[in-house]
Amino acid sequence: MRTRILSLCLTVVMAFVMAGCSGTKPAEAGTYRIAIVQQLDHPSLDQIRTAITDRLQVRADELGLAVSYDLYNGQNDASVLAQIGTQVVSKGYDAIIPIATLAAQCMANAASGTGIPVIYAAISDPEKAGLTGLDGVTGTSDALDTDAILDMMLAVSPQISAVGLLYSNSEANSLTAIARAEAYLDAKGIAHIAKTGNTTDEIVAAAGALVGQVQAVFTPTDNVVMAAESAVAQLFIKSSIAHYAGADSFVTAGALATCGVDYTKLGSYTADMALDVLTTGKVPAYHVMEGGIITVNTETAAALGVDTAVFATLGPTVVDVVTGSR
Amino acid sequence: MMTIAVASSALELGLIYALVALALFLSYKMLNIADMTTDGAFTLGCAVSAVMAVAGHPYLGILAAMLAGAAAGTVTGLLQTRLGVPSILAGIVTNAALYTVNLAVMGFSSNVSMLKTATLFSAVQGLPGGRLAVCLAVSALVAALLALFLTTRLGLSIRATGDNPDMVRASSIDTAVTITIGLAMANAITALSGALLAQYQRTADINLGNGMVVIGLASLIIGETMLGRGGLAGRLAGAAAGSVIYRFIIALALRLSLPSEGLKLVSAVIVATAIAGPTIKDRLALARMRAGRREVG
Repeated sequence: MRTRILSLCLTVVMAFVMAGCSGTKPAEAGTYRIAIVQQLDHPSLDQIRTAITDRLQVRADELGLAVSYDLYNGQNDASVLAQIGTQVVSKGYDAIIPIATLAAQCMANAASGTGIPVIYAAISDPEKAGLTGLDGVTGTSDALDTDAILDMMLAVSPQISAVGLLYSNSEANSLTAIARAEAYLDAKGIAHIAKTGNTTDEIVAAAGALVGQVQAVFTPTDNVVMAAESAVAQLFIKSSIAHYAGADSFVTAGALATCGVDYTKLGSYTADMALDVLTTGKVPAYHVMEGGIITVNTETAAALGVDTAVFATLGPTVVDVVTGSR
Repeated sequence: MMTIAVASSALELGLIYALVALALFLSYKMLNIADMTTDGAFTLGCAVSAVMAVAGHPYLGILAAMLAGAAAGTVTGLLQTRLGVPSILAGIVTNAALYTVNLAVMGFSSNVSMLKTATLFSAVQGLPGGRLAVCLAVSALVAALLALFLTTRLGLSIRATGDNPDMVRASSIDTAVTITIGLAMANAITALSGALLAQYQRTADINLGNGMVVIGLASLIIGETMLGRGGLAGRLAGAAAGSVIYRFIIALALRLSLPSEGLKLVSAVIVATAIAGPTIKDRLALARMRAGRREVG
């Protein structure tokens, strides 16, 4: 029994030593090493990550810096994120770029007191997440302009009498936006029905429950609904319900339209911000990305009988997509 | 030097999650109930602890979390014993209900941030190994108290209930009481684990408990398979050790610089290898013995 435990401990130690011998890249003088920590696999987060990595290389060339980055994925598990945080700090990265709220909180926690700057990407509400006022923590916010999307909805269908609110209770990003939407609709005297779910099948069931009761549905930047969007969009199109959402990834999956942030631009801005922090050492306040970019799915618009010309009058930029592009 | 921080964090997380393994030892190994309430009770512990820490009472928060977990376990026990709901379903029902309760505790928000509040671990912040000491102290204390409890009259009744409920009933012991108390204790320990984790990670999220029962059972079985059996104290230590080993496996998988998507697959392979280890060793020994006999004969 004792020899078994001893051999077990020695094996673990050996494994760690061997692991230590592989995989460590020696830091060349003047190379900035950045850790990009993605919270989970998700189309929107993947889009942001790609934008960040592309922009890092371009900007590094422009500035004449050597930048290397490593990708980490938390698999939406808070403890894995905590262990990634410790590992990133112990490996001595120069900056950490977490994507999404829980990852940002775990990285800020791990990096506190170490002096490693944390530049988060796409946190809807940094204040609520407790990420403001911390030393060395900044980033970009994709705060949703709920009013603009609902204005758009009313411009397309002025006669709406009931609106559905489809979201997930487990998403920190959604609750504030839904509260604002309810206030907006109450002010206009439009009835609203909220249906929620926490897994893909629950969301599809919730969407089904809205059919026949509403003429349009609003979803904020909700990752759980996004995962189910392909199914939900088909359901809504068949029932002639217009689905307005908070991010362009929804529209690419079949929703009608959104008025929000260009996530590729957000990723690029975050990468620029990270390099600025590294080169100047100054940590600015977090930056709220300007929204106002209207993305419309022309296939969905045709199926619903909506004239896309309306959208051109609502904002300066209109991007047309078809389902499955990008 | 680089891996000490990683090893230390794996050890600390392992010791915090060891409490879930201990709770499942009580409910699964002793009471023979697959307690599905674990996920919800864990998150309940996180939520209560986080909310009270933000309100300025981190220590009271730990106690309140345990009481809340006990309440959740009692509900499951009552459903099972008084209302005739099958044990697994009773746990699932309580788990589902706890989702709403947890959201309510967190003020109908799915995330509570404690990055700027004082926690249990703030007292030992600067000291090297301080956090490890706290985790170790709590886990050791709970394991010791549990071992002691299971040798008392009530504890023995609980153990007997899992083994042979009919015999226990024939001895005029109310199995409804033993099951309910056992589940309440198990979920109180799970909630304690959640409470510690929330204050350790400085964040509470509604999804923190997802899959906790699976991880707990895996830790339990890893510990039992790798460290063998050896009386009650040995089995409890094995359960706790299994949790630590599981966390080390994840840390190792992270360290191997593989593509980030492969993390869970690598962890699964390592866990499977670790558990299959003894069986593979026995088979190799048997094959060697047979080969030896054939050579001689």
